[in-house]
Amino acid sequence: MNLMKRITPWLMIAAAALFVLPAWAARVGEKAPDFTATDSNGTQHTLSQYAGKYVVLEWHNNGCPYVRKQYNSGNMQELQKEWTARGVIWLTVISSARGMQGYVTADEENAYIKQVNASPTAALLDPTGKLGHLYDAKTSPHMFVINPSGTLIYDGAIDDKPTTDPADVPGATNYVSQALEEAMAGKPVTLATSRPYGCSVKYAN
Amino acid sequence: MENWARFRISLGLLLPLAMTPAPTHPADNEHLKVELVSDTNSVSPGRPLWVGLHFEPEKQWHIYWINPGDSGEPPRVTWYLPDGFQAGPIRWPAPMRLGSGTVIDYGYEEPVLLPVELRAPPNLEPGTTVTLAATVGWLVCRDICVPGKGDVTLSLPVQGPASTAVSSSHELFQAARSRLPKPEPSAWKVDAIAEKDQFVLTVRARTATAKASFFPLDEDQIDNSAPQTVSAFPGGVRLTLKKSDQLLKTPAALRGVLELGPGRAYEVSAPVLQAP
Repeated sequence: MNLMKRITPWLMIAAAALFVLPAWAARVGEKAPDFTATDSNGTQHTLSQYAGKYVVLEWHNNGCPYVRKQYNSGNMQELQKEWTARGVIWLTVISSARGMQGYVTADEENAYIKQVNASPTAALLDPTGKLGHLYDAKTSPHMFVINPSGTLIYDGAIDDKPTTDPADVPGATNYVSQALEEAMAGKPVTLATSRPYGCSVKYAN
Repeated sequence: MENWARFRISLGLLLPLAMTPAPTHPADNEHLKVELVSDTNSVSPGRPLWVGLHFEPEKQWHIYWINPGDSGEPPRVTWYLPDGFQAGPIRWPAPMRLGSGTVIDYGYEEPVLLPVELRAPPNLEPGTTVTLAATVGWLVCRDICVPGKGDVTLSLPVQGPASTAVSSSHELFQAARSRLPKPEPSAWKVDAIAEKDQFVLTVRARTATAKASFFPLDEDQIDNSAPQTVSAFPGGVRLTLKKSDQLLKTPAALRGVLELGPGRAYEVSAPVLQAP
């Protein structure tokens, strides 16, 4: 039997595995997976281009009541403003598939950002769910914080009040701010993971 | 689990009225109806009283289990009970797996009764009526999620225990009871080995079983969307449970519900040992 005939089944299995399994699942304490994604202005972003900076990934769905809790209260916009002013790269990510809640065209996302006065560094449009699956984003919101060395230092909920009630925002401990404050002060992140709460990310089936 | 409830004095609670129970006041919201029902049609002084939150989601919509899984939120209840009443935690019938792909949740797609045991104070007067009230919050979802809140009430006459009869909701309670997980049988031996990326849960039981499914009570321990490999052996069953990406420290035990078949669900707590 020639070599190609012998290894072809294994090549096919390996190829299938690359498509089926997340090649690099994001794990706190390990290098965050690099990615390439396009924002609502058509600009491409990679994680590697932000080496040397803190990066926040914010999974978003503008119809989800848990996301609305953060935006209607102005809380998410405040976080974006505060942290981008301190040099953090804040990337909103929308992984809703076409036809599902939260899906937006580039124009719609730009209009939304203006309307709610948001100020992320960029909004990445991920309707194929490629970036979402790379990070195993489960909910909106689902927050990730990456440090300047490219290590994932936080993966989980935005805060400690897993409800849709905007009244729970002021008293909540914000896990993203906590992780950034601690890391920037050179301290270990006390809470590196938490169960992300929210609506399920509306991936393509 | 819900804590023993806060209770408040409700106004006008002891009204001398007819002996028949007043109709329940249900909440009818978007995509879901919820009502407060009781197993019996009266309450006896100093005795337990089984009530329940009967949720009826619209077809294809669902609510969540105490551990909702990857997304969602379980229903919550705040009780407003007459002086002296105490409320126990919500009891959760065995859930079903919901969702698809990488986001898997636990909950109920069919109408479900969540039973709660109340305890009536001993100083109730037969011939009077008590009104039980609660504010219920929930998340009901299909492809999108809608949070909801509603007030429910139930009025019951006070009678001596000899006059207690089952209510028209009794069948709901019987169905719910058959779906409540049973305590782990003392004859069983359950433990879990923590390997690098997974737990191996071993259940040594006398019952023969080919199917088993584990629903975790604690969040962030196992990966809800990973398939559970089940292998039966004489006298037991073994399940591999992939660890959650959110798990940082080995837990002392894996607590959850082990379902061996319809109506055969058990609460288990498996002490976790490191792989040798």
